[in-house]
Amino acid sequence: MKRLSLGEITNLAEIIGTVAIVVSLIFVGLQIRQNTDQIAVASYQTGLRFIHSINELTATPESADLVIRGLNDFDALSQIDKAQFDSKLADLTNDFFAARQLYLQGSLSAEEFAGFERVMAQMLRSPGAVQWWATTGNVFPQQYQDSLEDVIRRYPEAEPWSEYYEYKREAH
Amino acid sequence: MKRLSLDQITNLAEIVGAIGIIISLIFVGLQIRQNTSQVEAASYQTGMQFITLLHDFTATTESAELMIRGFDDFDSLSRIDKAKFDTKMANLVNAFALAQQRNFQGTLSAEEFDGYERTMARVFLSPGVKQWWDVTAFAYPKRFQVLFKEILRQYPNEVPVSDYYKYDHKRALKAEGQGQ
Repeated sequence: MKRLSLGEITNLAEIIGTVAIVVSLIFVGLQIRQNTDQIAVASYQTGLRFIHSINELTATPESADLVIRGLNDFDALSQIDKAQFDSKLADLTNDFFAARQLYLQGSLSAEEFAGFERVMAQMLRSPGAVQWWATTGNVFPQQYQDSLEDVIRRYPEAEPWSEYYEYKREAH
Repeated sequence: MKRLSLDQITNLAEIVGAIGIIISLIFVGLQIRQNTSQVEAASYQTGMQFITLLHDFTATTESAELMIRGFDDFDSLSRIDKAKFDTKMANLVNAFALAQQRNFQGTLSAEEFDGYERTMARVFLSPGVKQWWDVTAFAYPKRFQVLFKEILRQYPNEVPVSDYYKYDHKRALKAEGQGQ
């Protein structure tokens, strides 16, 4: 068998190196695609947490009673009920902003987020939520206040969520 | 078809390799950017844990009653209630410290953390929390004591959480006027 010269060995090494680079590129590409899919799933879950929080508002008879009363007239609640209602709406607001951040990063679709915005507008247009926001809104960071005010402005026709809880067929 | 010599194959391999390296560098750059976004998102979640803990203080009737009484007057609580209040406050302090660490690392924005500092100031301006801190501060690292003193110095005019829980609309408007 003919012995290879040093130059030929170098050439062969370069060819093998190139094949290795191409293979590793394919691996990296697959890895990135998998990562992107995982981020998309995580973002979707974060978005769902917002919806889950809305559903949780009425998950127990006590909570449903409190939230329905609060969305209609926050001012009429007792101090302890106000604190509980405040806790629920503040958590909901946080979940909304978590979804918003993912949308701004580009990992939650505009269509998905527009749905969340509309629901948030409906929530904030409820008479009790208007009272709650007037009383507590000033403790939110300014950028959050501006953002929620913007959501309220952009959906003037959104049916208040308090009306949703009337469960009237003709309303829709 | 003309067969390529080893040299020609090597030259082609070098060109393909160079292109491959450039592409892989672009991929690495994208990956790093994606990673940075993920770290920022994780930091955001850490910060949110602090706020969520605060909201959880009033998530149930029992907890809301305890915390509202504690924020007004810690000393008047029973021993068991003091212990419960202490646990909740200690968890809040830990969550705040985590957020502060993220801010220090540069993964939580100054704007975001500024909001948390203001919130912590509002907590510490409550009379009951001052009483609580008086009797428990010794158990925390010295840096916490310095930190909270500094936060109170920075935000002396925030509305205390104890007042916030009174849900006084006129007070809110007044505070808003002061802030502008």
